[in-house]
Amino acid sequence: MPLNIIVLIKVIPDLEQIKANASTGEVQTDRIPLRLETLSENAIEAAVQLREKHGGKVFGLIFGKQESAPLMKKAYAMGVDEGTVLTGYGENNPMHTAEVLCQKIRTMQFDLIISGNQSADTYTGLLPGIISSKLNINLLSNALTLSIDQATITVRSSLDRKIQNLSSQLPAIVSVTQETNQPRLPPVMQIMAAGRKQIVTEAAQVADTANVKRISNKAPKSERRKQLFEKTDEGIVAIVKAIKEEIR
Amino acid sequence: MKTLIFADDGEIAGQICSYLKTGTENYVATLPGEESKCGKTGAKQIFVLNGKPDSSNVSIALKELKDRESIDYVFIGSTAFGRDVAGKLSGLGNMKPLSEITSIAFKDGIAVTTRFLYGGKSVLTEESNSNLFVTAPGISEIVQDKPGSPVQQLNLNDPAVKIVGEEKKSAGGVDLEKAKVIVSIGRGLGKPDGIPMVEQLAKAVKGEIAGSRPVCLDYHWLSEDRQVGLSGKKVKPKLYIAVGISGQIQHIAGMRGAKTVIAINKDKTAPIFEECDYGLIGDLYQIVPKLVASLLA
Amino acid sequence: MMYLSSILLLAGLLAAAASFFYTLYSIFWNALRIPEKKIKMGLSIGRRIYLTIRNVLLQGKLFKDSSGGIMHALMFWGFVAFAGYSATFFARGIVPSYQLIPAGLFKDVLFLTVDIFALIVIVDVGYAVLRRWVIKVPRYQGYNGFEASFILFLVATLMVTYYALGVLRLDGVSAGITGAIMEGIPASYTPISGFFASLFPGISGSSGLDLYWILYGIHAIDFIVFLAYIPTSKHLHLVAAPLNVLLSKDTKPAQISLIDFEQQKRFGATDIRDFSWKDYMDFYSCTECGRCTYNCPAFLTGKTLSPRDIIWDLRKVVMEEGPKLRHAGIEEKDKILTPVIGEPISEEDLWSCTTCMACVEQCPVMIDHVEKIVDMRRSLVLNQGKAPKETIETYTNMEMYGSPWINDPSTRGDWAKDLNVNILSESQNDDFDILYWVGCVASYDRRNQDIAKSIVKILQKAGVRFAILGSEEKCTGDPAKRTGNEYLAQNLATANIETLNRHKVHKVITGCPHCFNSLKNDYKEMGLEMDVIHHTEFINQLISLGKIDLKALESDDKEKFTYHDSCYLGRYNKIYEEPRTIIKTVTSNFEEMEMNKSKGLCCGAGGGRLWMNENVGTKISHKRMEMADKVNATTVVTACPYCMIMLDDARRVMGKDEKMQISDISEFVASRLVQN
Ligand SMILES: Cc1cc2nc3c(=O)[nH]c(=O)nc-3n(C[C@H](O)[C@H](O)[C@H](O)COP(=O)(O)OP(=O)(O)OC[C@H]3O[C@@H](n4cnc5c(N)ncnc54)[C@H](O)[C@@H]3O)c2cc1C
Ligand code: SF4
Ligand code: SF4
Repeated sequence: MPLNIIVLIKVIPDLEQIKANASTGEVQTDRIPLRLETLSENAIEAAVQLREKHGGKVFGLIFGKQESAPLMKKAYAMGVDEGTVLTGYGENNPMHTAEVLCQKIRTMQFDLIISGNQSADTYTGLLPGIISSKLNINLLSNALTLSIDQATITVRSSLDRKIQNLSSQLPAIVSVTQETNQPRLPPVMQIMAAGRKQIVTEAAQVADTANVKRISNKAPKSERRKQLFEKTDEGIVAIVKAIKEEIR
Repeated sequence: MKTLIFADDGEIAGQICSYLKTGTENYVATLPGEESKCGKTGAKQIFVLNGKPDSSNVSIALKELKDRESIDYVFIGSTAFGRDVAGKLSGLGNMKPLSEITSIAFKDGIAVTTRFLYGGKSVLTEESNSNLFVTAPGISEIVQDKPGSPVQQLNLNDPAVKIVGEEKKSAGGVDLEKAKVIVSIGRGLGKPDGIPMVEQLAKAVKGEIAGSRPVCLDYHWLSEDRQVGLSGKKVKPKLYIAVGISGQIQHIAGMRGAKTVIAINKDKTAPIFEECDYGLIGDLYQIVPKLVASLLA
Repeated sequence: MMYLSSILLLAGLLAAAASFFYTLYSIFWNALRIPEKKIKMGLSIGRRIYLTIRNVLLQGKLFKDSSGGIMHALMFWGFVAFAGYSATFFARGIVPSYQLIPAGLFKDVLFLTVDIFALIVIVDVGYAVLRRWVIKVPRYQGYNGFEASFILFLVATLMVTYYALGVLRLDGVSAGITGAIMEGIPASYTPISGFFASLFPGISGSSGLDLYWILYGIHAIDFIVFLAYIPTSKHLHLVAAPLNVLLSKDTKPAQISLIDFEQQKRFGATDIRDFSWKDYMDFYSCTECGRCTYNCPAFLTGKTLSPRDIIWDLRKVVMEEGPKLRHAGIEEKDKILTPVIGEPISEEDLWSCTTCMACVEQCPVMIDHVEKIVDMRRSLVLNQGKAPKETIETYTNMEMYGSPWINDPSTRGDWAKDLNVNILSESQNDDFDILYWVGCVASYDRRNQDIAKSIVKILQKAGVRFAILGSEEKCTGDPAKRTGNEYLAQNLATANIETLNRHKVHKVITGCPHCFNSLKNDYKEMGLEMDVIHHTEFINQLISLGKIDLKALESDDKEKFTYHDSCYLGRYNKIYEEPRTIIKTVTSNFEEMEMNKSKGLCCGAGGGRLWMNENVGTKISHKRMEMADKVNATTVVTACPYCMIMLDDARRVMGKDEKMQISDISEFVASRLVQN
């Protein structure tokens, strides 16, 4: 059965290059290169693999800013057939993100939605659940593997202490993990073709009713502290304190 | 102020309950077998959700509880299952969620929270009127000093998805990528006989043991799946303790995501000291036992 | 009798010639019709003739393996002399009265040569038998089948019958036969035949004549079989190898060609259409000698990669699919051609290659293995996105950070912050004479930053006005290019070329042979004209110009130095002497390791292998460290950051860190600078 798959793609600033302002300690994200969030790449890969097996179409949705649009090319290169960039992303607000995406999705035909189970920048991990509720479709989360037979999807779902084998009728939403697959290196032909493909951008129709006010966004540390101790006893005191901080 | 706390791991539910202490009336919901882990943390009531839990039926049960008990705030422990439930519940109850909080205080009905952003690169302090908080594990020590809470059994609906089978995650295999604390050993250990000593350290910090390439691949003191580095695992624990590791670039490539790095090395000029937060210069055979002793003291 | 023999000989010769030329035709058809890959052929005629004289007539490259080489050279020269003899043999045999070469001194000397070389060839065959089946020289093992023995048998028989006929001639048996071979050559010009004749009692009469005709028959048949057999066997090299040398390309060996992504439709080598006709000549020229494989670091340390097998496997596919194509029509390509990767050439073997060029260097017939291996890697990477996991990660990093590791690019120049260096990304001050290209390894690896600092120290001491690019420098793309990701490599190169032009850079010094080779050769192909110098050359110049002086350290007496050749400095760019000269200006405690200079053993890091696992067999770097240990070196001097990482790792893992250190030539120099 050919599948219509929607894959939710997140664009984030490259975390490795995020720096703090030396004097204020505030984090600066402007002028940091953007990239596809790594779990989004797993999601794309999963979608493309299903399409390769069953036929159909992979539709990519990015909810981001205007600057995020060029990143759709990478998604195309990895095998996404068509894509839309919804602009208007403000701060991290999963309810708003979900509503924007659902509004768009409701206008589309789909059998399956795939997204990452969390994202490397915010770790929220709420989006798959919210969308599942809002669209009233089943959620199969943290997939280690996923397969489709007729209109049934089966997922090996990795929870903290156990693995569950889940199955559900389509349509459904699946969240993937890093173990789901190894995202492919796009073949050059596809990179070239992706460069010529059109990217549709639409302004999000839902206003962000932010209920969260940011007081500060400080880097706990900009780089390694490099505190060295030559006297063991002195060092141990400091280190034990640091360890207790981290493992409490 | 009434809160409802849910975690599929009773310990995390207990942590949240202990953290919130007094001032709030805490209701706890958890899965069968977990209730004793948080039984004496001061919850007004503990609900045990019986049946075949999935994110759908648990979120429905929580919504019902929330409405029934007129809950003001919901706290959900951040586990894979917890996040699914939190998402479902947010959508279901049109709530205002805030995720991965590491601290919370209420000020005039406004929640002041902190959480990490950008993969731990920064700390956000926020004010909000959110009413669902996904809480990072370890927000507090669990304190079991209250009288036992009354326990009520509830039955879940049938799950929305079919649960075809279930298996425990094997305890033997290590999942370094997910480990929160890692004690990593290098060639400086000199001989495999040093490993039990390091294991004690690992135990004291509740961490996994890992190693550099020579230790795993060349000498086989540890199994190969414990190798950290370019050609091994890329780890991002909160705490990484490098014992007798020089810190070559191929090794750093695997642990640069660690939040706090502690290095023990006898060579002052070892590159690892450029990549650590705290460094102890000296013989690891002297330092490690002392460190273990003061950790346990 | 004469009449009959003429006819038989003519018929045999025609049959052999027909078979010979038909096989050649089909083989050349393959080479001219199947390939789609285009190559540049700009080499000057003079250079071609030079190469042909040196490597064909003088057998130049064979002597890299002296014992086998001398044997082959003698065999070759014997065959050349014998060619004149055989032409005469057939000409006279068919038209008895015809003198192909007029009687005279030339002919006499030619036959004298033949008479001497025939013996040498017999001895050679004996030696070959000894090497193959008694001494069992490793590189022939597995290649001693029917073909090798049959050829040796044919050659030996030809030579023995030659002498037998010569003996009979001296006995006067053939005196009456017009057209008898060697008629009229003075006995003094066939001294060896004369010597054999003296060993046997004379023979005459009809029994002599019968014997003569029997031997004549064997001799003739041997010739004919040999002729027909040549093109179907590895002895095709007799025809193909000289041509291959004559038709050499103008690019350096192992120079990886550019891809025009807008124009080209097929990337890399997937099946045999994706090689060039020159590659086909390479396949045909291979003699199966195994020199390549027995110098291949991967093979020598227990990997399954064998460059000989790569060439021979490709040849087999060509020989198999070529005729099918010829019969079905070239339009049927898509149906007939099958991928060569997977079967017969495994992906693992392709990834095992360090692109060290040892195989190319050793190959007597100038085959370029590296280019083919990289072309097949390209097929995997560019068409299928397939590469080892670590390699794919390095691609992402190179794209994101301009470095194979995850490194914040804004920190690239941080190592130089306190050294009073003009960092262009910060100063934008283009007032400098030379750009020091630091490279990723020396920019980010702690150990290798010491090399960068030493270079800075030397440059400052010599008063050179230099600058570094800082965060504007990106990986040259070498690790991408050599692993087949030409697309990424060209993107990086384009960005770097833009930067270099913007700062109007005309002269570059670099401490990394991989950067060096990229900037000097790869970037040149992309149109960048720049003077590129490696720090070994530059330091050597500074010393000889008196810009810096070195003094021996006290400890130097107790040290024992050796030098490890970097492949990309040595074989790729022929810089062998400069580092040695520098070391020897300071100390005489220097000893070469086994496998040095053009035979230098790779450290195992080239071809992108610095970022891959090496799990099969022993590590190449460990083998190299053993060699350093054998000469009791206390310091191994290198001139390459890749080698530094590999050897330093090997030194530690092997527990040699107490007694041996690895030192870059720049550190060697910087610590011995005379302060004045
Ligand atoms: C292609 C490639 C891939 C690689 N991939 C990896 C990888 O994935 N992971 C990895 O780890 N490495 C990798 N390496 C190897 C890497 O380059 C280093 O060689 C390795 O990390 C060094 O390991 P080490 O720090 O344990 O040993 P060493 O470098 O030998 O360091 C030992 C340290 O212990 C200290 N020491 C010794 N005795 C004592 C004592 N009694 N008390 C305290 N300190 C002591 C010494 O001062 C020294 O600094 C790779 C190398 C290559 C070439
Ligand atoms: S380039 Fe080096 S590693 Fe590769 S096949 Fe040739 S000899 Fe072997
Ligand atoms: S490729 Fe060259 S060196 Fe290798 S076997 Fe063939 S002829 Fe010999």
